[in-house]
Amino acid sequence: MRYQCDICDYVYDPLVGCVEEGIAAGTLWEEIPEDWVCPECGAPMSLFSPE
Amino acid sequence: MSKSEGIITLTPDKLCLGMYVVLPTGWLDHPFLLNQFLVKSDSQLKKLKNCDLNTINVDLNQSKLPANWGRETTDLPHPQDPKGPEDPKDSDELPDWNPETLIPDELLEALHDSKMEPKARSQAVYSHSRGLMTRLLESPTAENLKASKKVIGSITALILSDDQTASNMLRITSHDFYTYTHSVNVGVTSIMLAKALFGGSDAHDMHELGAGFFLHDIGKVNIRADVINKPGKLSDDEMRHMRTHPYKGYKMLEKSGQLSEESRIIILQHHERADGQGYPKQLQDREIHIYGKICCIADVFDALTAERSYKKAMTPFEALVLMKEKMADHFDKKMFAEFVNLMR
Repeated sequence: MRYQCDICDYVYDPLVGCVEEGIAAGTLWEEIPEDWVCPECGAPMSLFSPE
Repeated sequence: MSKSEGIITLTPDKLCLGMYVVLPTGWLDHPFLLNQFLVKSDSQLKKLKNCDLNTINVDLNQSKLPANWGRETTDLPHPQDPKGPEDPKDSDELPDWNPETLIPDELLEALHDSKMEPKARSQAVYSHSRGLMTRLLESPTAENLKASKKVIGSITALILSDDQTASNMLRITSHDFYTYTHSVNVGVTSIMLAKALFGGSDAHDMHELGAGFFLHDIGKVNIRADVINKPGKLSDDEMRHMRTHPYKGYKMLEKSGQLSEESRIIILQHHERADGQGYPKQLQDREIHIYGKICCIADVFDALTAERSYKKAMTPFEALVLMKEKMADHFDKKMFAEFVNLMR
């Protein structure tokens, strides 16, 4: 499932991952380290909503 | 052609951009500063159509109309030209404003004319500030933001230096649902509140602040049109998207390099609440910048006193009562008391 940042609308798509932050394509939301923050605005994962 | 021969009389619906209109009545009977002028924007056209005049004179000698204008209206239809002249208002494309065209002449005129009677001056500054914000929201480029920041600085200076014009502006605010009207209302009200709170202290750069207040909702240009224009209540997902406008506006101004960080905080924090239930970051009272708190009060007040498709406008008094009784936790108490004082 894709997750979207409530603060800036950035979308985390598991198919794409977030390579610039070291999250490989194919990484599920649940598998991302807890201290990961939104690459666009720095929001914590708790401020993301399922899309 | 003599001058009188160049004047034609049209019903307002026949007007188009490029016409030099000569209004038949005095200043108080229409919302424009001048009785005659060249129609340069859609907002002027719209206003002309809405100002209850049955007919309007147009001076063709002073108009700047396309060469093919009038073939259909004054001559027999041209078989070679079945579509007729293109009406700019039918076009879907937004006008491209640039720093040269962005600022309404009438706004500059009213800002510079210190001899103008305060009531007329406040009316002119208010109504043409809305014109400026309309254009800026249509073309929010970095260079346009820069040009508007300069003129908002002059508006701020006027509000700070001329109490009579400023309180007149508070009295004449319109309460429609347009973002440009809301931007000007919140801008003017916030500057007045900042003035009341800070007095003559030079610890605050009021010109930067004024720009932050006027531009607090600029992030709405990046919200989807179906959400912005939705007449009813927003769904959860639409609300989530709408609530990204503070961050988007903040980022936009950061990229444009036009506002100080302190002033950009206004845009980011104007929906944060003292009880920690605001957005985007759910900041606690002590974490919210005083500038953000000022804008928040002015923003809520204007939202309550504005008409929406789903609710009637409240009177200023009703809005203040509701804010005091139902929303006291949202605001800084001392600041709210000052705001009530200002609105009395």
